[in-house]
Amino acid sequence: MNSNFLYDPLGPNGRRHARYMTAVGALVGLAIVASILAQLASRGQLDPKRWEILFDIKTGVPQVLWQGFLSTLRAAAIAMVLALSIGPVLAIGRLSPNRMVRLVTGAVVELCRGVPLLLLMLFAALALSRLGVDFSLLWLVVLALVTYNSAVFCEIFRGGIESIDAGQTEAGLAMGLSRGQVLRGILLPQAVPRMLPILVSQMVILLKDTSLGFIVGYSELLRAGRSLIDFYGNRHALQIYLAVAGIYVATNLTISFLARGITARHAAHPRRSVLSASPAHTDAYRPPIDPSSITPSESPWNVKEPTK
Amino acid sequence: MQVLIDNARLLASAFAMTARLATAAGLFAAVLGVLLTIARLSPVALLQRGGAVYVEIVRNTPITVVFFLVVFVLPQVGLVIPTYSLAAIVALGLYMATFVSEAVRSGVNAVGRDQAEAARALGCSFADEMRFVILPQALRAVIPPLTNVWITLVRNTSVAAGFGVVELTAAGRRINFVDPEHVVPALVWIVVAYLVIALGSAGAGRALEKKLAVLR
Repeated sequence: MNSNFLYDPLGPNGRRHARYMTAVGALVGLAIVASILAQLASRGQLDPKRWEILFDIKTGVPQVLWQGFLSTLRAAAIAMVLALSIGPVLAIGRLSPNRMVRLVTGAVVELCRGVPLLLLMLFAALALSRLGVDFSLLWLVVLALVTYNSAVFCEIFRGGIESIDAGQTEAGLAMGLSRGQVLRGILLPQAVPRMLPILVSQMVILLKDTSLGFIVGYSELLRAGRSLIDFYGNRHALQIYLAVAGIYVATNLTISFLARGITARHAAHPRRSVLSASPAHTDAYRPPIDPSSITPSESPWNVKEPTK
Repeated sequence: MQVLIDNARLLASAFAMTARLATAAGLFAAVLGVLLTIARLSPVALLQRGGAVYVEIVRNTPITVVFFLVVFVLPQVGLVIPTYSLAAIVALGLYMATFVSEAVRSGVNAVGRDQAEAARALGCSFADEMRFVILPQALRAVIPPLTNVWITLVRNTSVAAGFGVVELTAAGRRINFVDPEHVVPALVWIVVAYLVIALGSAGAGRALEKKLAVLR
């Protein structure tokens, strides 16, 4: 997205100023990097021997990190599938013509969204063991992730469906379609492409949130890193933490990159071009769910549209 | 109710800690986030690139990992943070600043090219354009996403429980150790406390939005 509409293209003076700022910025940046490297070197952190451990199969480090990574993916994949199936059901509940159904699902969704994930995990662990249900750590993490993300997916689906012009529903109903048919045949085909970017960014958040499982003891990537540090001592702490962070960043960037490809293909679809014209006519402050203007926020609390 | 009275002191101080973490980290994130946005919207390519790289990397790192980096890796570059709660504030602030930046940037983008060009066509200087045209609209557009960011921040303060800070979630854990019989009602109260903050903030955001709304 081009954000540079705030000012005209720079003239000779402006360009000179920009060059000056570039030089200052580069100097400051270099100074920071140099001082960080100097500090690390003075503590011996740049010693290649300390970094070798990450790549040496004999130390077992790559294997342990790989196993942790797989556990992270496993928890995230299970939670994603479950939350993506429960979320739309909740969304249908929130859009139901029945007032009671709307209120109850609304309350459940708000409850699940407002509570920290970590507290949900703690709650699940303590309350379930009290009830005598014995969950494995994996399912404990999955349960909490599903509870929270179903609520978030519900709000994404609801926002997407509500962003479709009401005339579409009215036209469908007037033609004698049932509500279900309108939803399947008219609303979802238009809403899903609009929701894709925000759905994907929520999936990235879900993947990141699996790392909270570390605090309740699920042995995912971060915990694998911790156990390696316990085993090899603090000598390699910096290297292992940075490796763990790098794996997360690389995975999430890959997901976002793949998703961008899919979204771009949708945008290129000829049917989209008619649809994408509509958000421009809606409230320019906050197009309901025009994906291009929506920030991937960690919890999309759609604050309600003011009714006109 | 009894559990609330028995643990009144612990829960009250835990609630205060959650509130303190959230406000301090929120201020830190707001300042850093706005600076990042300015860098990303500036005409200097290096600053644009730098801001974007920071946002992309930090936003794709789990908050738990950010905590570890702040607690264990920053001392290695000579930045020792004296207390756990201060470390938590730094970690939360560094992390949430990326979300603030994304929200503010989308707010500016929501104003649209036409408005900016019209302002310049009328002869506004950059300062006038920002002051009279862009910012009044962008600040309104930014209220709902910033409310979301704030609620996310409040929820994320719970991660500090894993790093030696006794806030609400850690208090729940502690009650489980000393008084496991009554931990479930205690947790219910803690959930209520979080919901009060979250729903209260959402309501406040909505009210502020309504108050500032203009007919167009």
